Amino acid sequence: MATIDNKSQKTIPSSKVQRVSRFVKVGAKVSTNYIKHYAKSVLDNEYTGKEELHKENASDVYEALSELKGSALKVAQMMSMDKNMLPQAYIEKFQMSQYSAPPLSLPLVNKTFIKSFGKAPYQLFDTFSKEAVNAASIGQVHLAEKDGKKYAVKVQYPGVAESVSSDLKLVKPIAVRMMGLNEQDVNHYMQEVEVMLLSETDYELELERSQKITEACAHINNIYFPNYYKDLSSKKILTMDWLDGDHLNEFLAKNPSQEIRNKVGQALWEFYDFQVHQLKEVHADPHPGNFIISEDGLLGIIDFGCVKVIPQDFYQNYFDLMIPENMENEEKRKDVFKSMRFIYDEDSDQDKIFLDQLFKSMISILARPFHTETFDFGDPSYFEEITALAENEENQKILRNSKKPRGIRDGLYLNRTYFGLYSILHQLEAKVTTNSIFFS
Amino acid sequence: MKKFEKKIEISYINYISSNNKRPNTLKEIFINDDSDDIDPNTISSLTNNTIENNIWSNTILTSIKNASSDPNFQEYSVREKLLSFFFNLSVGLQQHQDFFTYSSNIHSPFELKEVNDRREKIVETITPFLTQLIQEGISTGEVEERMFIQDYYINVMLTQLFLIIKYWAEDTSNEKENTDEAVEKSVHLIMDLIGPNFTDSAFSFAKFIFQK
Repeated sequence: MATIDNKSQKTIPSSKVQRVSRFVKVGAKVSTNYIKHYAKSVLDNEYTGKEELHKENASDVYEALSELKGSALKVAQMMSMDKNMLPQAYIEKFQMSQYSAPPLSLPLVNKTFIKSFGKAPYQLFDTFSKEAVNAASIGQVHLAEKDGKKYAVKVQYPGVAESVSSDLKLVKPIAVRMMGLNEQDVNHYMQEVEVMLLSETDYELELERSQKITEACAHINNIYFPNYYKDLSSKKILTMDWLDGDHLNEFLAKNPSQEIRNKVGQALWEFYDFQVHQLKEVHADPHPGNFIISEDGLLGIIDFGCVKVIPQDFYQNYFDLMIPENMENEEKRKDVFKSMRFIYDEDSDQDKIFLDQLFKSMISILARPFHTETFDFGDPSYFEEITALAENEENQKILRNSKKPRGIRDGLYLNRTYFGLYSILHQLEAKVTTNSIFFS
Repeated sequence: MKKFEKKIEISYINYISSNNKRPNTLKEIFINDDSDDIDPNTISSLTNNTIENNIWSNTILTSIKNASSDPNFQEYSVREKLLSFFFNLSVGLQQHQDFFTYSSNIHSPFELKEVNDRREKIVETITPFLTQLIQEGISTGEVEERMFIQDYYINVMLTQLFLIIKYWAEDTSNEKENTDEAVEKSVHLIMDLIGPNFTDSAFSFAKFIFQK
């Protein structure tokens, strides 16, 4: 597990005013960075500090977000998932947030335990780590031991549930500004995000879902899950087995063989395929912090906080176009694009044609792995193609100028899931047999 | 004797929790109790007020005890020790929420004396613990020694204690989560005030200017 920064946090800013002021501070810092940047570029023609500017901004924003914990950190995680949405420097810094945020004091952890069980952690376990070994966006993880067995104990930050909604209201303008999104888009999706985040603050629900999915996926090869302990869990505390192994970066740093990487990639693929097409409930949080990889390539899966239930009619629409014949059938495609809210009746004819082409090429690229027997996710040209499409100025302009949100909000977490999945497979450079339950 | 006093306290708490008023005479709290260990002499030597004060004082002692029974307690910084005490106190208050809420809401001017008595009792109970923390802080450098001013550190901490209790009694948030945050924030504020901070450098600089 990644160890985290020892600078224990003194407080979580919790009143709205405080939280707002954090963001105002970042705003100010970011704009100073810009002023510095422009001053430098005016004085020095040779100056090409754009990368540096992004880096400074990223670390200021990250600092603010990590102080806010909770939902703001979650949003940071979501943004960092999507490599194409953010400049490189933001990504590097934000990816840290997938592992670490300043921890809470031990007396407060004790207090949370006493509230839930009437006992302090040292009374329930033989040992309990004084400092958090890992931060889990809305909580932190402690390592505990009892009768020689290791447990991972996730403790939720106090007041998180209460601050979810107010946080999102704060994050919204930042997301709009920083990432150049249009506000309607953001509103449309924020609701979905809020619902998902609120469900994530309920550890009892998470326990239930973990047990359910774990059981249903038990037959898949090369993956393993922790056991969850109901009697040591509550609304704010979740206890599970401690999984030994590495996070993705640490695993890759050890230069595992292609064979082992393929094995991990294959397990990951099958795990997601089964969930999406069979269970219709998916672990919608495939960021690298949620996977533990053992040396011989077994994939451990933790953290079922974020589970997206896929509605049937949405499923139908979403995956219909994966079948190439449907994609080529203009009538069918039109219908689906309309019901998925990619294209509206009010759009001008020119826009309609353009958007039709755009979404068609997007979907065919994303569906490509499904159409071949095996797919090499290590192939950089595939990801370059995705990036090129997403960064195409003309495409961005038309999407940004459009006053309407494009895409139905149920798609948000499913897109994120596939983005995350592809991005991890890419980092693994895995070659995967991509047969899908959907086609069989 | 000790045991019987404990029993009186529990019965008293139960009485207030279920009736939301004080008993007219202490006998009332044992009205449904026919066990034979009730000692009329002890009862007659007590008043509502003394029992309530004892309950407060015992709760504080228990909180100190619970805080220090944490095996990590010795390694805690003064800041963490103080946090730990307050968190334990809020657990203690929560255990008999009805009683403590009732008992901390004394408003009538006729009860001023009672409020004073209780305040004195609480101060008397907690002072050794806080004094010890301040001493410890001075020796570890967490608390700054300031001539004349350091005598008031304890008063600041006592004020904080009463504020927290008041805040707790009025806290309507879910599971009194706001009190936890109030504790964190106030402890950090106090530790920042009594710890080494900019005023020490300002004072030292001013002294230098006037002396030379």
